[in-house]
Amino acid sequence: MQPWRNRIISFVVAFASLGALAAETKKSPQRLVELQWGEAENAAQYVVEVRHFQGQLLKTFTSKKPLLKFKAPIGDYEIRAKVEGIDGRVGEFSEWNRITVLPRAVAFKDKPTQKVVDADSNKLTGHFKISWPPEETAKKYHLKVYALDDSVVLDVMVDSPNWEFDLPPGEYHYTITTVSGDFISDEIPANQTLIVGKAQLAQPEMLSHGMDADKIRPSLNWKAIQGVDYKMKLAYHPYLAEEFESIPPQGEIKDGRWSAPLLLPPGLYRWTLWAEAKGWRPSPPVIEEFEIKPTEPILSSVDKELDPQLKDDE
Amino acid sequence: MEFLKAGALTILFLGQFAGAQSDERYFAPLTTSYAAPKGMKFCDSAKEFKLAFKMLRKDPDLSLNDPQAIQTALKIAEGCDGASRRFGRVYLLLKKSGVAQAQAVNTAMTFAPQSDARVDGFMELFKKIFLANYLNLDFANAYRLSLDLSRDYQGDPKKLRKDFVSIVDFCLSNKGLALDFKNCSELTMNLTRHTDLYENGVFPEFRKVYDYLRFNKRTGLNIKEALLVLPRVMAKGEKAPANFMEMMRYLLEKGPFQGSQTDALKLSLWVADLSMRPDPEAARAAMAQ
Repeated sequence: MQPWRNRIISFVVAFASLGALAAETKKSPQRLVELQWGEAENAAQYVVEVRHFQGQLLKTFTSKKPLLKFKAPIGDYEIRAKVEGIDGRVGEFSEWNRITVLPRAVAFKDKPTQKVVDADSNKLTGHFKISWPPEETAKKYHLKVYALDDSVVLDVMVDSPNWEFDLPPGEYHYTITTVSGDFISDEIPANQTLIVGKAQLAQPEMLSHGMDADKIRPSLNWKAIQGVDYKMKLAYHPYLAEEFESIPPQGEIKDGRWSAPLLLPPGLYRWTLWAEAKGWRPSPPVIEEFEIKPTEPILSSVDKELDPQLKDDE
Repeated sequence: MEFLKAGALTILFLGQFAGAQSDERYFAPLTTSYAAPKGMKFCDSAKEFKLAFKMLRKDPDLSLNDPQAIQTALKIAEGCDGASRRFGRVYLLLKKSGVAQAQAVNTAMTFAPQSDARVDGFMELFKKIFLANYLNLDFANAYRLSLDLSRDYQGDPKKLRKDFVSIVDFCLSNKGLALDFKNCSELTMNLTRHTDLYENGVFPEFRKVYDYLRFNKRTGLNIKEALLVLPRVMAKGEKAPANFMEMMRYLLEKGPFQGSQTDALKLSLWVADLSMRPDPEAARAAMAQ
């Protein structure tokens, strides 16, 4: 028989399955811990001590077999054991072995699913409301949402097993980690993909359009959305001409406003305004026409301008 | 020989003298009146061509090469004296109003052979009808009306222009009717249809009747009521306004409807309607021609 003094007992620690634990831990968030170790010859029984990590002794168990199951709350512990032989001799305790009882990870459904939403064309994002099976051993849940390139787009700690958030167009997956104080479970990927459909931007919402107070300059005002570029085309149609012709852009678009430069020639104009943003289809255009009339002083200057040209000086 | 020569010369001279009394070539009177044939006129065509050509080549927006400018200048010169100026005024007016180049040239060409009065009419009417501070009609209507009332007008364009401008100004003015563009437009078109029924245009008579209906102590109609009555009166020509007012005075002061304005109005209008009647003798004379 080998002396037990120097016997090193190595533990195999396991945690019971969810099914078993659920029945036992309805009232308190504890996990079932299974310990196994190598059998010693002629062992009558084994004595196992459990204490808080580097703290006070919590419990002493005895077991006739090299196997022990007990319930423990989430936390850090140390265990050691000794052998009591059938001849009455008692070995020494092993070294303290640290074990950590972690919160249980969330158990997602096996079947993969997809959640698809259309992006709101004003906010440019899709809205999600997700939930997952609650976990008794969790005090909080750590939600992380990843884009396809594995970059993290959302990283939050929430109290309840659900959360609402907005995402830009694209495809995403997410994980949940249960947290209990300083102890966290494995990060478990949800079996669900989140998809925000690429939609068309909304048509710009016009606030006003017409002539400025000076009645000479037309201007446009629309509700500008952050992150969206606004483009404009201008076309000119002299009276009695057959059709509109594009002309170079005039004036500046800024902060949802466009004002024509002074002294646009008289005639009909058509402006076309639309929104563009990366990842979105351009919005339907807003098309309107306006007219610039000549002023009386300009028309009254005709004779003054013409008569010098009509001198027959040859 | 010299005698013969002299004699020959004498005979030639005498012969010429003898025939001279009946030969206008040699004894034409000192003062001659000449005229172009009926329906024709003499023109300073060279001057008009040069002016037109210079104007066309100088315009930066026309971009005519020499052959094109020559052709166009020839066409303008067909309009005889003053054609270049008439063309130029209409062309510049339309160009400054935003009319497409080609159309401005084409319309201006149609005015080249017209009278100065028609061009004056077009210029004035177009401004009054189109500009934002007058009747402010859309271009298509303003353009068509201006042409109808000037270049294509069958009556006296000068009289019409004066009428039109007077009515528009009175209608829009705060001291006049102070109506909006739409109502002034309608009123002006209604009244100027009758311009040629009046020696001095419709406006002076219109103003008399208007002032009577509005401000006479026995009438005192408001603007809306007065404008309901006036077009009917003015439609019957030169004598209708006087007939109408005479009837009103008679009926309200001495006649059967003293104090009854409505009845007086009705009867006065009926009588005013009789101010213009068919003339059987004139009709017969016209048929004979």
